[in-house]
Amino acid sequence: MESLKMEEIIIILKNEISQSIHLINTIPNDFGIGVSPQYVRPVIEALIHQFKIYHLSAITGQQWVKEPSQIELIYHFWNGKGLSIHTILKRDNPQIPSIIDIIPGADFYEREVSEMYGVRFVNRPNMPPLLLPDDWQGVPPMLLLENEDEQN
Amino acid sequence: MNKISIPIGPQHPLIKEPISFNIDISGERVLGCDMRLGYVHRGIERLAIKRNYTQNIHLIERVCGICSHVHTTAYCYGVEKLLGVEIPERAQYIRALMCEMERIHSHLLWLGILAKHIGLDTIFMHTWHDREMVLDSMEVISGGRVTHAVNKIGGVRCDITPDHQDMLLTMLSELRVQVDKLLEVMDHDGSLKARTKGVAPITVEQIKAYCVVGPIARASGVDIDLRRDAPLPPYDRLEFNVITRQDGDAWSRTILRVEEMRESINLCEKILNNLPVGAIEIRAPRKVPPGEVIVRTEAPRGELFYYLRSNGTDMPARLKIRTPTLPALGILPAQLSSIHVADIPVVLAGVDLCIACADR
Amino acid sequence: MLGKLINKVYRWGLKNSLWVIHFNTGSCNGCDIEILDLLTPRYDVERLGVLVEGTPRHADVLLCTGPVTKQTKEGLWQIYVQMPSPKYVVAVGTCSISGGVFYGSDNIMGGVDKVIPVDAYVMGCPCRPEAIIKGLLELQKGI
Repeated sequence: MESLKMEEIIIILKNEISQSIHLINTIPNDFGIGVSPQYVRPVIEALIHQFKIYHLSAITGQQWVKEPSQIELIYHFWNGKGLSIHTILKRDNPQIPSIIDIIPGADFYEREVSEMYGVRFVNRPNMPPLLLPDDWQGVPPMLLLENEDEQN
Repeated sequence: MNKISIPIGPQHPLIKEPISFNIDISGERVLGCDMRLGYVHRGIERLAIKRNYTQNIHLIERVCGICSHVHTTAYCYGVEKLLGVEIPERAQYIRALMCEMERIHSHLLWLGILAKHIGLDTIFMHTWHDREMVLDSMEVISGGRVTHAVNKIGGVRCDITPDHQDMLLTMLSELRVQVDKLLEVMDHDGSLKARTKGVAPITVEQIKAYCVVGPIARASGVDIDLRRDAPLPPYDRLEFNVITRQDGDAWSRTILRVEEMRESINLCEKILNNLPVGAIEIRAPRKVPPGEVIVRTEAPRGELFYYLRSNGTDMPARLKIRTPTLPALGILPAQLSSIHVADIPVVLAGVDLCIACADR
Repeated sequence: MLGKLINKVYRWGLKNSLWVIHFNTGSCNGCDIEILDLLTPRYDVERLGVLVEGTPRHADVLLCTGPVTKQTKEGLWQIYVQMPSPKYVVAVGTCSISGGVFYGSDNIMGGVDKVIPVDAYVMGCPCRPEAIIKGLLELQKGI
């Protein structure tokens, strides 16, 4: 997939879905698209049906210490070249529509992000714990505490 | 007929790692399965942000004992990319050599376990005896049989002397004779073929829907191999064949891995015959400038994905690992829904489970 | 007198045919594949009388690897309870002694002896098959 085609993809997505979709190029050799949470599902549907990009490598959740009230989710795709969809959720009510009906393989990835960061995936059946033990009590383990420094 | 549920629990002679299945059967047909992961979850991603980059090599090598070298290779390439350093060519070739030898040892291990599950203990004894040849060579180079600690940030720790080279080439030609014998036996023998032909076929649509990678995908005809599609050096300078099959059943997955072993032996010989001279390491700074990097590489079981973020100190800010066994576990209930009870060990072994990788 | 003779024969029989069950409480698999290596032609523990069994009810010795994760704690205790006396436990690998490289993780107990009593410790990360055989022989001496 040539990089010219990637720019065309952004233009098509901007026209069809939302003008707020923008380019993010912080990761070398990886084409990043910044999307608001409500448009993630339409963008992924367009990637699969229009552009035939269907291989989801992983869903990463992370928090940046300079923005402790946000949780960033990155959906990593691969089609000969890497393509990532970045989206920002609010820490006090993190929810995003689920994609397991269009990509069944995203089930385990969503369950892991949900139990590690407390993100709620809407419109999907129950989410039993994937990796944490049954009797885990306490906050989602990878969430930074309110006043926690990143290096401690 | 009534439905009953067979628990294959955390302790079972079939599986060497703790994982819990509840397989629903009715008569002789399997209806589906429920699984519980998380028995091997040690919180590696949480431990990694509390240690510095060099201490993390020791930790990441122990995510999985079978594919330990490829985990540290991906991690070290990521850190070196963030630092902006490029390691010498000789170090790149030595890393690739250990990766390919690890692929051979992992496939021999898997073949022995599959044969043990089916009941063909002879193949188990023969393949694990041949595997000792590979482990001996890795021990002569690095000092360890199972975890080698070959990688460091900036290169590799151990060099290959001309004596090592001769020993390795002798070992590889003996191993090739054994692998060819194995292929001949498996082709002509009736029992392994009869137990695995036509069992649990996976279609290309299922592979795409569940994002399956590795030999399972290649056995159904999906042509992906990250050594060719996203090559880390020196794979961009080496020629090799990517093997695919079309049927997608358990027999295809078995034969494909044995043929991949033969390809890996050829690749090891090419690497040894073209080893460049030079240094094996360069000095790398301790503090890594802020940045993000993604590394994808081909582990013995498929695509290994690393995401690493640094923040200017000597400890990482975020490390995310996605191992190839996780999507293979995702497709397992679909595979188990159409087989007989007697085929359960064949399917469970054919997936090449590495639960320590999946749970981290 | 007769009782002493029977006891001696019983102990000779027990220590020369230790039947083993293996349980992985969350290890990285390094020690487990070295334990499986004991069955292969190079190390061959069957010449020492050791057989690897499938169920705890048939076993004398529990070979345990891994830092005990919180999810496997209950399973480990149940296996220990199901083994008939006399029973012995060998902790294989540095993880099962102290947690090893995963020390400090919030999901592990930190060693097999935090859950069940241990009779022999084999160090190494991962330990060599020769070390595991030495651990079994030391256990034999103590019987």
